[in-house]
Amino acid sequence: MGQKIINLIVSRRTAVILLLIITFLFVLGSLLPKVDFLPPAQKEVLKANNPLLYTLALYLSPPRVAQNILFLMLTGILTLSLIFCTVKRWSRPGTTYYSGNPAWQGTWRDEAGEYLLARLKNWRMERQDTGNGFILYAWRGRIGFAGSLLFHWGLLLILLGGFVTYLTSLNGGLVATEGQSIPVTPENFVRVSRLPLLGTPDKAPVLKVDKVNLEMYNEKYIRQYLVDVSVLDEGGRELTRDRVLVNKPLKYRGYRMTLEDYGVAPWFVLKKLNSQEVIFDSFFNLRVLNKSADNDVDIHDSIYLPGGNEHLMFRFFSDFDRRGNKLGSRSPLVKNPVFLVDNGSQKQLLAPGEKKEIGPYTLEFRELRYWAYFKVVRDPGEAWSYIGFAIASLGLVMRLLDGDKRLCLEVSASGSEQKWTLGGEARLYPVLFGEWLQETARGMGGESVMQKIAEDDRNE
Amino acid sequence: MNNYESFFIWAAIYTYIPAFALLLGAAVFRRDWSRSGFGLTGIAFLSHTVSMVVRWAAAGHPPVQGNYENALLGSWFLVVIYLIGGYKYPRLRPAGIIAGPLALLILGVGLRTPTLIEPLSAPYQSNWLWVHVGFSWLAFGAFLLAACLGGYYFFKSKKAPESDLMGLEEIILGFLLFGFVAQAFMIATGAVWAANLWGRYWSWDPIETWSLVCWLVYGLILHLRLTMGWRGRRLAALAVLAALTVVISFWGLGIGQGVHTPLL
Repeated sequence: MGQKIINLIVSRRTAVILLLIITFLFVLGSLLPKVDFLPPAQKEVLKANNPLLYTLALYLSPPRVAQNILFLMLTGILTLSLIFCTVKRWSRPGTTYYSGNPAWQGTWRDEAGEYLLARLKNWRMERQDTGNGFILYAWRGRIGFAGSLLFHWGLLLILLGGFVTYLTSLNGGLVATEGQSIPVTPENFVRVSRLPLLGTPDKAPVLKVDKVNLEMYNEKYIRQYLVDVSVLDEGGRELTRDRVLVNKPLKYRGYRMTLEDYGVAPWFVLKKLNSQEVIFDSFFNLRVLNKSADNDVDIHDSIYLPGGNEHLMFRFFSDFDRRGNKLGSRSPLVKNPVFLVDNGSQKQLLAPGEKKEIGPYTLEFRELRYWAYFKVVRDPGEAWSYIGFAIASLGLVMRLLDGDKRLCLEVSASGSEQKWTLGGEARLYPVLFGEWLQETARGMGGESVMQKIAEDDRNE
Repeated sequence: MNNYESFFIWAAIYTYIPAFALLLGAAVFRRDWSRSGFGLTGIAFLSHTVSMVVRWAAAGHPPVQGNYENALLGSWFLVVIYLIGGYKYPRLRPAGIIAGPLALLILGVGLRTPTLIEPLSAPYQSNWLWVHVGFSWLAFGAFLLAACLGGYYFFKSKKAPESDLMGLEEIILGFLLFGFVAQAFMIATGAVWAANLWGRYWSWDPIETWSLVCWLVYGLILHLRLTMGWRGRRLAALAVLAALTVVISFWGLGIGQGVHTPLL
């Protein structure tokens, strides 16, 4: 019974069926709504309107499928199966010949031997003397089998890396305004995607955003986002500083902080006009809501006032420009920052340092800074996956470059001269190898055995 | 698109068309025109290359951004793989009757989208981009050409001798293997790039998932061919059908939400 199960696991048919099931699950999952990428409100709407679809999407979406223990078992069995299949095919080279292609023959001369040896550059060879001549076995492509094995071991490491990621990784989002220091701990994340199930880091660094800059092309297109950051210890002492760009994250003791978004953070002071009661006195991180194809940045956000019925709408112009009644911005660079504040019945334009009345309130625009959003990841499994990628890639290259081929030359005395017979086989490309053999045999001055037999038959 | 680029890309298109006509004529009328058709494809390819170089010089970056540039580069890779393959194995030259219209279709779809030259946006400013995009086009080009050869296999299967068909099948297998390796490199380099850009090397967004599906499907085909002996018409049919996953991977951005869409 046990042997039967092992045979079933290591059979090629099982490997193919498992691969088919895994592919089918991913195809199915990719066609369902991506609940992990949906905003919370849309997720709730889907849950309320179509609970069946929501449940299916929840369990069959690719990230959920990939983390399912049954799926991990399936993939583990598949990997085991493929490794056993590869090992089973490992056999001694150079013992079969003539089998894949019709043999060629001719009269042995030194020139024929030299020609053959020139064609067999980089082949491994083994010569066996017989009583009246010799047999030369030549083969190449054995490394291809090793490549296949390496490829599957690489896949196993990638899966192992994924499992370690599942158990130990930390993934979240952190927002910091210029000048602000913030400990890189999940309590300070604005979004937590994953908390480690095992092992938490003993000391988290403190991140300080020093300066956010934009690098422009012709003052029209944003070329790069530059954020100068420092890493501090708990006492506020600077440990390191770096410039973070898109594509160049901050890497510090296993943490990787990737720049994902940015925006402006005005400092507003909102007071009641009569009592001077302070309602709001803080930096206010405005959302970038829309980036159109021509790179116009539309930034606006609201503050709800006490009571919750009224709100102030803020619209930001980075480089304010007024043409008649039309308000706009000349560039995304912050050169002449102005806010349009709207409470529904009254509108006011506000530049830095200005204070204006709007309804029953006074609003002061004290200062403007940038904020930056960092994706924070700490993933001990990543290194395993990269090593797996490298090994699997190396294995594939070895497999691709080295097709398994075997060749056999038999030279034996026949009357006063020596005759040779040449044949061979190839695993991947037997027909193309047959053409190569034919060219080689012709270069050696030989002829096809099959043709010779056919000619003899005709002569008889 | 500037005037020089426009001239060369339209010159390429108007040269690909007679090249395709010659290859088709060679197959239909059994005339020896495939050599001329192949040569004319080479001339069209030169013009195609010049238009890409002109755009590269004008934009200051290789054509990898936006639908038009992807179409320009994608069709270029398809033709270059066809030309190299056809040079090495003359028997696959007639497959140009499928590869030619496919390249023209990709170019045509690209030309229907904005062709404005824009500077490379921040997320694309990574050395991994060239490696990732290069391998993806090598993979897609090889898979699409395998599909073209699969179609050509059916076209030839009634009249050609068995040895010719077996040779053709081995060339299809070669392209499938090459594409599989290139796709693996594409996924691996994309993962490294994604780790620096989005923080995670794998996010299961639609493009990533379909790249993996595409790779698994081709892995499945290779297993069916190499370990279970699926040959001939079955392999040709699989090569044609599997190209669907390439099409979905390429135009898969619209499938749903994911990290490939909202770049900074």
